[in-house]
Amino acid sequence: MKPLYRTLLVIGIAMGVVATSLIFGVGQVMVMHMQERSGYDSDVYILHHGSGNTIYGMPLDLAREIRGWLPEDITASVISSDAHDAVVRIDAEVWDADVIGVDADFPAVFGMDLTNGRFFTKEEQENRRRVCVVTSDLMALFGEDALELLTVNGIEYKVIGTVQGDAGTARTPFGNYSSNTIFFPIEVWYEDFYQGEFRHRLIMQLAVHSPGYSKADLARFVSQNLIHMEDAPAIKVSASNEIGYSSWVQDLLILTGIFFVAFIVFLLAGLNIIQIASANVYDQQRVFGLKVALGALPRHLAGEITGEITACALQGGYLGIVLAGIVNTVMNQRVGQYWAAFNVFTAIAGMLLSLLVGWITAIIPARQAAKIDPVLVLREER
Amino acid sequence: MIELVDITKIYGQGSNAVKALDQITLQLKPNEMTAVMGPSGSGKTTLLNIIGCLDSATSGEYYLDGREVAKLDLKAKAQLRNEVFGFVFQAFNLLPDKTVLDNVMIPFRYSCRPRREWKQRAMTALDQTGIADLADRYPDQLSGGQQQRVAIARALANDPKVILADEPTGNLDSTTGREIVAILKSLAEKQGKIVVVVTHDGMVASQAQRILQMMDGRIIDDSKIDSDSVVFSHPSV
Repeated sequence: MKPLYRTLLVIGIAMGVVATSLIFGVGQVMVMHMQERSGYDSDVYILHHGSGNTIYGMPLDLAREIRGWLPEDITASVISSDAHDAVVRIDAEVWDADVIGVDADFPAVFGMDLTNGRFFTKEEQENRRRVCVVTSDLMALFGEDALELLTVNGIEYKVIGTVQGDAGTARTPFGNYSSNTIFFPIEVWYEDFYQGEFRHRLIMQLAVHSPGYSKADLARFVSQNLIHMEDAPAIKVSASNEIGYSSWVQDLLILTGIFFVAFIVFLLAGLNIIQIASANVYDQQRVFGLKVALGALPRHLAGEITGEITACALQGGYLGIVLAGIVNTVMNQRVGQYWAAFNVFTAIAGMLLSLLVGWITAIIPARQAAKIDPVLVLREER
Repeated sequence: MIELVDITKIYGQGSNAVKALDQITLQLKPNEMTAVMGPSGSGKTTLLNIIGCLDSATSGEYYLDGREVAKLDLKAKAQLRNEVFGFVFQAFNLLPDKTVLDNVMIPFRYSCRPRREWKQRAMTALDQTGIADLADRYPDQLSGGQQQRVAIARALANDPKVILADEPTGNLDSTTGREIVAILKSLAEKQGKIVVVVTHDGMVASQAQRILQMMDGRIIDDSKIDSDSVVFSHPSV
């Protein structure tokens, strides 16, 4: 293949990969907006690590740092995972309860009303007071006002309030919190159950109540700072009621749909690739005629053309991924959180698409080459 | 041995039909260099293409070492072009982006020959044409004569029985042309190959043992000559 055609092919395929990558990025943004729309009925957003299926969250110090990037008028609360090793005893009986750590702003973020008593204050949280709040369901088991103290792993905590047992708007990593949930000040929770190691990645969510701010605003606050942090995990912003909606089947269907659209677009770009490859065949008719004279069969020529286009597809795919990475980086600095749109999946999909389109588009030029009459092309003085 | 019996080639159909070859009967034997002469359109190149299995006859019979070529399939004909015939063209037809060595090795791509033998055989072919020292050069770094030697080396790469040369000196000056013809002649005389050279050039024909004169698709004269006793002047002289 002549260098000019090879260069044009590589550039064409690279542009196709970039276009595909952008489609993936835009597709993800569209999906996010669709999900966002379903969460417009609330001013509560969740800043979380990865998808709803994430097992590990973020450390408390990162959550605190992220909190620092948000404006002061936003109310925020961290929500920890359940402390699995906590043994809850109430009146000497062991109870299967969810033991989670939150900030004092937890009820304010979710607009929850306490059915009895109060939630712990910021002062109590900062002073590491061993207090807790239980659900009304748990309280009901012992009769109103009967539950004043409970012990977890042998440490005594004062029960200072009760929240509704089935709070429809409150979401934790496990969906609506269970009727057996006990809420502790997060620092106390870390100290008593995890030896005060705040770097444990146990914060599942940073929930914020942010009236007047859009999801994109929040995403921008986060991503503008995150991109300057090395080894920072991917932090996403979701509407409070979209967490847990997206199953892997949904994700797969959405990604398959985006992949299909990208493939169609790339196939259209492939028509241009066919044009270039066909022009190369026409320009190289004499070479192909010569090869036939030297013993080449049509399948040899088809193989050579396919091989050349595949090599171009690999080069173009690689170049396209690099360019797409640059475009995504620039775009994300402008747009906000969508930097996750360019990931390993996008890169692999780009390479697969470029190879697939390369092979498909090689068929027509290969057939053209196979039809070349060596007698005509070798006789003709060109 | 090559034997053609009543070979006719017609291009086109109906009122557009053109008879390029008209009942050609011919035998070509090893150790013989045959020159095919005649005016343009007389059927020289068509004859060469049919002998070399690049084209097929409309009617007639073509036997190669007793095998009827018309009965061979596409793959078998390609194998013949690869192993039995070596083509040399007026325009050299070298691939400009490949070295001399790579150009000579092209026929091996379409053969069953093990890759480890390619270089050695290509170098042997280059040695036969006296340009082994140019193996690493590219065609545009060579003179016309050197390029034609490369083309001959490529034709010899698979040690074919038949060399088919279409105006091999057409793009060369007379001195270089004589050198090329000498190589072709030695291939017939010393290596026992069948060499068929299509030419307009009397000097080239004078080196052949046999001259076929063609006109309107027919052989009008088939003569064996003693090259030492015949003197042709070069058209350019």
